[in-house]
Amino acid sequence: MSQKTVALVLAGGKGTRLEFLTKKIAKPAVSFGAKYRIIDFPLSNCANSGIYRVGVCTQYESTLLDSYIGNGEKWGFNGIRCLMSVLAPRQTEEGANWYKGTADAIYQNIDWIDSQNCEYVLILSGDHVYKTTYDEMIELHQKSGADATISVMEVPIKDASRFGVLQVDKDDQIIGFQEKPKEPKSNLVSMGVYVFTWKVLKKFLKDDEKEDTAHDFGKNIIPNMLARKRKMIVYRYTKYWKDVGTISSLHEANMDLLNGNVDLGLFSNDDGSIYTEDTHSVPHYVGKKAKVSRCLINQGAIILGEVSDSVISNEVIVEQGAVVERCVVMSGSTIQSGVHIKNAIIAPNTNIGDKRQINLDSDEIILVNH
Amino acid sequence: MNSRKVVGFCNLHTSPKIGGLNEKRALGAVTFLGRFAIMDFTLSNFSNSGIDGVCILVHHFPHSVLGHVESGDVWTANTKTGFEYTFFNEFGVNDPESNTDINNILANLGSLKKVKDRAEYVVIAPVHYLTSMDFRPIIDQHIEKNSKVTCVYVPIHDGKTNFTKSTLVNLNDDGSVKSFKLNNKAKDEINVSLETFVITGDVFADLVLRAQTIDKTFSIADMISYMIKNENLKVDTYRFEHYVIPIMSLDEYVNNSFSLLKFENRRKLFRHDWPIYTRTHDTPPAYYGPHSSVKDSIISNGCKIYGKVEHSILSRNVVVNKGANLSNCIVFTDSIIGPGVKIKHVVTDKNVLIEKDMEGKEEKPLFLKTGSKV
Repeated sequence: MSQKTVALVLAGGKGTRLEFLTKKIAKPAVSFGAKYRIIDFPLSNCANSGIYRVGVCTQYESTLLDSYIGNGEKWGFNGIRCLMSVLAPRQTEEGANWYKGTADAIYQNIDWIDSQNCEYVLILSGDHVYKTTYDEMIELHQKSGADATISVMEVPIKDASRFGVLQVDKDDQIIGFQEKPKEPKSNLVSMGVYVFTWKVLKKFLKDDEKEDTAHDFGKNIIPNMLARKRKMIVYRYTKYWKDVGTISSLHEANMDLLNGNVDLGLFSNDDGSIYTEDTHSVPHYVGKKAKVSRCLINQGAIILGEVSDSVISNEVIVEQGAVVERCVVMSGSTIQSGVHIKNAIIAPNTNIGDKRQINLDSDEIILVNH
Repeated sequence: MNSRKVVGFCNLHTSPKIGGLNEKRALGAVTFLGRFAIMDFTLSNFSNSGIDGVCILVHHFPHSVLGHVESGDVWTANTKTGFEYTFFNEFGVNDPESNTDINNILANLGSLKKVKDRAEYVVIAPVHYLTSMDFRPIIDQHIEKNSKVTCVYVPIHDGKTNFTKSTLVNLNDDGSVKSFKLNNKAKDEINVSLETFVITGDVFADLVLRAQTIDKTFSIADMISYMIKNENLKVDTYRFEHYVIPIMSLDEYVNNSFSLLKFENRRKLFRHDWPIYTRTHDTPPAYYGPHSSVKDSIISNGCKIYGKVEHSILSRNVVVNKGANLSNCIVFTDSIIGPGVKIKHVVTDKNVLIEKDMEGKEEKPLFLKTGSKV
């Protein structure tokens, strides 16, 4: 079934709420979990699902992201029958067009999808952190004969208004949809992961393109399909999933890796591994006077000071006499002796010195950059 | 450099036996410092020196080499114009005496035009000297001096106790090789042959072809010695004054691994401009639990540490359970140290389960074979 499916990853967004972290790079390329970039998760999930053909729609600051994706070798997409295509907006006969919305990004690549002779398209977001395979969802879609299947999870009702909210009947068929409602009618929220029957989606994309809309899946395509009584069902997802759109949610998702109760499953062999680039670093070193507890530490780091409840990327140096608590330290950063820092994300290649005492009295998460 | 045609030979035939670690695998495939294989250093030296055509001369246990090297893509710059061939002499299995580097080349070279076409110069390097070596200045000197053979040596100042299994170079006044001999531990100031040679292509072809007619058990090094003695071959030398780690015994393996816990030593072996490439295993970063205590140790990705680790080196995916206590240990991939278990001076091969206290001696660590359960 996965052979009949093509995946499209939406990776064009700017991610404004990640501030400095996305100043020069696209959000899917932001570092996560000491070793990975966010886009490693959907791409590894595709690889582990036996989906061999993946298109990644990029737009904002796409140079680094495009070269990172390359031919897809990092996730094994350089093998036979595999295809990894970076789909950036381009000039065509009709003129030059940026992607105007998530649906438009797919619309502008109808030819590419058609050329793959697929029956189903799996639409993914490039900025979600979760480890899974899509087999079950695609199988459910096919068996149910639905035109669209939306992956959903249950959240506390108070949180539901941040998401697209779905109401379903007793057979899990979708009967109502609200995009980021003030008063959610259900606690089932869309994860932004969709399986569509391609010929149906294509029609709706073409119809939508004629109208002056936001060209967005949540705002336009899904409500239109619902209005025209297309069969849409939900796939209930119960494992770990996180949208890391803000500094605090990015920090929280990193901290979740240290908490045994919510498990992303990085260390589990179920559903394969998460693949990423290799930094050719030496394994990390922990010094004679270092103290390390509840941490995730990547190769290449050198820890000589005190680090607790933190996620430490490659080539990070924590000097003796430095204290790092509840921090996400991205690659190449140095925390000098005498510095004490708490509740922070430290951007890549940041050098913190002058015995600075940072954010010690606040629970608010801050971003520190050079 | 790119205009020059150079083929590198990664020579596993001269690897010494160091006990349990290479009893069932090539020395080149033995893990080093948690994540590398010993042969990564030589292969990366070729790669970083712009030598993109490499033949790996496998002496025995080809599966262990192939499993690590695969297509060689990790070390190859351009996968079309470059190559990384694995040479193995099938007939050597039944005739160990003649299972030499020369016979391996003869058994495989015939069909490989690509290698011959590129071999204006060849560089032969073993795997049991770990270093970051740039071959370019060595080849430059070889060409400038119009040398036939250039031998690379490193000056050592504590030869009575260090490099004790190595071969030494005796020099003539003009700096060429007078003879080779084993280190007899008589002197501290010694010049150690790194068994690394640059040889002009036609000299190399002649050497390989003629060796058979002289003695079918000759290695390349034997043939060079023979030609110095009997044919007045001038072998020039290149003095390599950088950090070199010999791995010619289990003692050297263990002591030199531990010496890399010192930052200044690591910095000399791993240079910023000289990455050591290895095959990635896609393991997650290492996890430290709430009660873990780690001091003066090298920890690889995939490890889960809930206990105490001191002055040790852990390879990928090692689990140190709660209350366990390791000191002065080298633990290979996928091994598990049970809860509350105390071990000291222990070296384990892969996939070992330790559920009782064990203590070796500093000068003689306990060694546990792959798959041991104790």
